[in-house]
Amino acid sequence: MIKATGLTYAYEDGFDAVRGVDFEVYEGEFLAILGHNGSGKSTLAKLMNALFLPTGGEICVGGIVAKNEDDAFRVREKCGMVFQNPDNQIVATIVEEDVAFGLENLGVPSAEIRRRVDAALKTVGMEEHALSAPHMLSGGQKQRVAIAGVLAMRPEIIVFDEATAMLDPSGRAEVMRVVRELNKTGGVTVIWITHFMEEAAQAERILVMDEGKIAMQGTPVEVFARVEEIRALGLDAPEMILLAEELRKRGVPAQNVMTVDEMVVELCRLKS
Amino acid sequence: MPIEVVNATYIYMPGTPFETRALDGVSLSIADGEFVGIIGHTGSGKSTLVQHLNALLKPTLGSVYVNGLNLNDKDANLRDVRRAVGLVFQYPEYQLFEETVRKDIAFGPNNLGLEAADVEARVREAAQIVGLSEDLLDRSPFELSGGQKRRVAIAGVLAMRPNVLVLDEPAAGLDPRGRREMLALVRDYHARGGVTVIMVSHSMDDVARMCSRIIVMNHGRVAFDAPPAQVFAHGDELAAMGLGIPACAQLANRLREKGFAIPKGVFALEELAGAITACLGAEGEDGHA
Amino acid sequence: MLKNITLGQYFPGDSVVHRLDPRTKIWMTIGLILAVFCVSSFTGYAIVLAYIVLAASITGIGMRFLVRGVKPILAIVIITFALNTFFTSTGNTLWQWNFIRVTDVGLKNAAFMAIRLMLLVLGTQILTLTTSPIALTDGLERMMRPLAKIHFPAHELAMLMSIALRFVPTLLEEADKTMRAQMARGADFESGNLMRRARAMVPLMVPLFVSAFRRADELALAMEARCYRGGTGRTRMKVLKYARIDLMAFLTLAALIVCVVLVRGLI
Repeated sequence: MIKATGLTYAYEDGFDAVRGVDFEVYEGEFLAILGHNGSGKSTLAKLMNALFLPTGGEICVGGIVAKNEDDAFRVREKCGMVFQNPDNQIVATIVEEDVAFGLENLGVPSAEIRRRVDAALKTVGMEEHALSAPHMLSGGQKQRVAIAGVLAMRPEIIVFDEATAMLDPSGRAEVMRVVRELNKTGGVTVIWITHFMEEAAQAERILVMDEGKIAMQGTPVEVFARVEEIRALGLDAPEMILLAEELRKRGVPAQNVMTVDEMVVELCRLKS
Repeated sequence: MPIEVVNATYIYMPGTPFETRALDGVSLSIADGEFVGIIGHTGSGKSTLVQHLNALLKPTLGSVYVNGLNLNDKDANLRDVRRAVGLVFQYPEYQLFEETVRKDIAFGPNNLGLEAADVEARVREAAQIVGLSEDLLDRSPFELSGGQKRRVAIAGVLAMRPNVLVLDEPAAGLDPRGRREMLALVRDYHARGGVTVIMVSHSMDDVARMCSRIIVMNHGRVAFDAPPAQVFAHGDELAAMGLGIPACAQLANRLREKGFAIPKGVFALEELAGAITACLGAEGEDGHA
Repeated sequence: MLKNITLGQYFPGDSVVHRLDPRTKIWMTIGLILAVFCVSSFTGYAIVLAYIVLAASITGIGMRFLVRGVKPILAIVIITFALNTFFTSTGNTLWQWNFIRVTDVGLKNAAFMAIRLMLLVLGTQILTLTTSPIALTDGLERMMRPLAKIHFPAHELAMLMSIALRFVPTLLEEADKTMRAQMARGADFESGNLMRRARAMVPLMVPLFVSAFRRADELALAMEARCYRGGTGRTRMKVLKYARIDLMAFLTLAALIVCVVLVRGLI
């Protein structure tokens, strides 16, 4: 789906946020990207949907290597993006009009827009709020509207740039549920940038960014097993990983657990 | 500086179609030196509640007393109250406005009408508490990183030397390291002694680790007001309010159901590991022997 | 505080008035404004007021909400009233002090001006309360489309307006919050003379501007990410079409104008 080779991006002030990165994103996967603030993950996200064009190296998204504005337009059609601040990405004053915004930009015929908007709102469970004003919605609802707006454009990939950072736990859970559903049944490739380790633990694969480079990658179990390295990169491991480590120190051989459920099963197994 | 909230009700935009009862008969008291966590989902009334503590909002019904003073009194000196009860809003970095960090931190003390030397001393003290180095003081706050900006904003409240410090989601939006550092800062500040700290959060984990008492807000009412261990015993009710309990507390509850002898009140990671080892311990040693 | 300002805020609903074509409502508002200016009698004003009350009741919003919208401009109404009262020199003098004179004509003019202003606000509010800002800008864009031939940036202007409207509640909320945050640091926005008050606004205005710029940056990026590149090649989900109810609405306006003209002779 996405293939980057030697991908580099330097801002105009000379700060190189992404430094010669190679990676691939596979079709239909749920990939989490972790990294502390300023590690380059947000810049990476903007390179994926051609909001930024690389200053070095190459990134191919859905078969297109964007070289100019026209290519960039086509890349953005394939690869949508949901941002962090729910307030600053909603353009319209009515939910359904906002969902229609992207389709209108693409020049889709009116009747088709109507159909796709209704379908997208239904998918994210916001059809009842189609005529609401966005500022009256909760954070989680606003993000679901933003997702519907991207979804209506039928992208193959959606990049979520810390889309849950400003939400409360129930808002986060609500957005996460919708996104996992999209990934599983909708076949959308998801790139999930986050500061919440529990969310990353639900991904199929994790990339950890540091200083503009990829510091670690692998499945959540592989990545989080390296607790010391994770800590050194300014991140954290999920509680259960830490507990398992603490237990191992005390001679209890708890293995391969990441969630509470897994821990309960593992400990019951050890007990019997 | 004890705080007493008596049967406080607050109605937003009364008489309009947007009318909402943000607080509904809330009563609670907070003693000197406590470290209280207030938790609840968005719209539960927690932010409205804390704005009552320094008279930014006044209850539609009921009353709030700070150090015995009824904030509804016509002649209550609100500036004194706002000095004594320092309130750090959510995302406080968006309130910075001065040319230099020093001037921004000095805004509060200057409003108190203090002498220049005294203001300077307070600025330095506050900057030191939040861990801002001397050389940052003459920089523009807008050049700093997000985490540093937040520290400046918090220092701006600390410089008023409040007796009660209220923080609304101090760690929101920070990365894991930023969160850890920010929470450590709050904990250390309370540990210095002499202040009451009230921390609003929607993260049970943070509150559980730091506070000796948790107030859970739901639909404008106090749902629970108890030490963490007692609150976590209500896992299902909390889940229904859109709140999760910390993973370790969840695990402890689940293991107890499965017949593990985990003592009540154990949910800190190391303690829990100890308790689990003890449960498995006997068999484990037998196995090795 | 600031949140209580209702002027210009959309009030969602499904009344006949809500469903009118935005262009109809814009033309009708223009018509209503003209009618208000044509009227020169209290009877005429009473008729216009009746028309507005009727329209308001159809919308389901209610007069109370509408009247609240007049509050922010009350100061302007009072000043207008005072200016007209004190600085009209024609007519019979009722009361005089130095160069200030109150005449019967002045008093009547003042009352007319004040009523006019209030009717204008009440009337235009029906437009803004029942028309989503997007529909409003759509309407304006469509009405201005012929001007594109002379390189008038109709789409850009409409987009600009709709985004401004979108962010009004957000920024008001932010202003409210910033104000409280500064009050928590001992700021005082309410006392002191004009100079002091102006200076007290700095801690409020600077954060607001900084935030508005940040929001604008992020929004621009978010719009680009959704393939926005100006008005060319764009389609719309809702295509504006005049319907029967629009014709009916125009007829009621025509009736109003006829009534107003008929009562021209009365007081």
